[in-house]
Amino acid sequence: MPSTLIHFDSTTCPYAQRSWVALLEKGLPFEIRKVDLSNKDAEFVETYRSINPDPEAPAKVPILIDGDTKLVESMVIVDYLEQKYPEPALLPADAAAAARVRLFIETVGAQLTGPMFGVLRADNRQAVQEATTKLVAGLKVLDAFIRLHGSTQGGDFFLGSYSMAEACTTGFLQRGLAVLPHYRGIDLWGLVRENKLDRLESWMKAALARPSAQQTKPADNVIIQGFGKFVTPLKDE
Amino acid sequence: MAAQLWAAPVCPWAQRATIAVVETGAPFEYKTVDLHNKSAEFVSLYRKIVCDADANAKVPVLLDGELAITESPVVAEYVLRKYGADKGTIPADPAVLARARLFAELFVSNVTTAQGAILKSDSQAKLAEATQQMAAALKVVDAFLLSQGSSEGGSFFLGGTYSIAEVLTTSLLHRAITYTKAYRGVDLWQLVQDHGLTRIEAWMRAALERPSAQQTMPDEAVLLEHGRKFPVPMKD
Repeated sequence: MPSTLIHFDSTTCPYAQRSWVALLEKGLPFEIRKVDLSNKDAEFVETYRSINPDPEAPAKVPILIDGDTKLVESMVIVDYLEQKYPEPALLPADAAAAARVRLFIETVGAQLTGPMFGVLRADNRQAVQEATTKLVAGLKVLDAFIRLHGSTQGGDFFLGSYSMAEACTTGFLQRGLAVLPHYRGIDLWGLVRENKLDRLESWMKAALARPSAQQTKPADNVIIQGFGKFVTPLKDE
Repeated sequence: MAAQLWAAPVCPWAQRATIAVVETGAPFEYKTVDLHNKSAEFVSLYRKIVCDADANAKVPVLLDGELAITESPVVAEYVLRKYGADKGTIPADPAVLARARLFAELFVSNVTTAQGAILKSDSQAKLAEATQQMAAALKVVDAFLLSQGSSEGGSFFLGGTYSIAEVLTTSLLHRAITYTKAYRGVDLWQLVQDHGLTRIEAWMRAALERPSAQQTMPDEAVLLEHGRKFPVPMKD
């Protein structure tokens, strides 16, 4: 009988959400060791230090324990789960399709997550305007990327059917949908529709509707509160 | 059309991909990119793949049949999986593969970051701090080699088995050694000796001696000309 997997997680971090989703999608039995990142417990810190030998590195989530195997870094953990527990698959067997999924994950980081933080960091109205223009440009790139490299066979996910493409990105989309309206009055759905980004819109709907996405989403007020530290107050407000 | 790999010898990120190609013997046509004088063909190809008409065109770019991708870890992994399945460069044991990936992550976040700090330091005081940062970085990697790696049969991360751990780090190691010495007089070989880091020292030698590393290294003069833009002028 394999030992239960242990997942150290704050249940609020979008990076840790990647491996949480992977565990759920694979139907694996696991235990959540809940971590308060503002008040880290000794077991969590010691476990992190036993894996990452850098004494200066702040202990981070996620951490996965699988018997003797102990891992940090969300993508390393997701890749490990995919290799160790291949069913149901989160990556296609075809190396080319798997590469497209990996590139999609990078692209969401560069075109959605990055610009989203840019909007929050801007410290005056003009800068917010410019950062929002960049965000819109990023959404257009994403829409075009899904059309070019993705598929609609079998559904509206990146590959048509569900994969790591969604497991590793939906959490960031959920964060954006909560924080952009609250802190900057930006309606992401509105931007997507105004710019007629139909493929992106259908992807967003499918990704957000996935049960594992819903199960792992923190409440909006929790997301909003957690993101406060990333938001620069506007000088000209 | 034959599979193509667009790369620039000076770029360590692209070199990850060229190392993967050499290791697997994969049949790619090399398309050399001059990063200081990018061809219209390359720029337009890159922008088409990333779906962004304003993107700064970067290497590596890989074309293989219908597949068109960029981003060094994605390209390297694709080459290793598609053409090197029998070679063990991607370990079959999921836990071993995960540790090899983690090694690469830790190398970049520690050593490559410290390299940046050294080149961006603009005073003797800051340089001294950044050099300490590099020593600490090398210690972290040495400790990870000892705790999570192997020394059985050789000095790679996995001992006698060359793997993705080296594919993703060897070129970055080379630049860390070369640039810090050339532009700031910091000697990583000296640092590892001074701090008794024998395991990482052995790893460094093994990685750099690997034929795929030797075959893909840029010409030193060309590299140092290219790298001149990285260090910030020193004030004192």
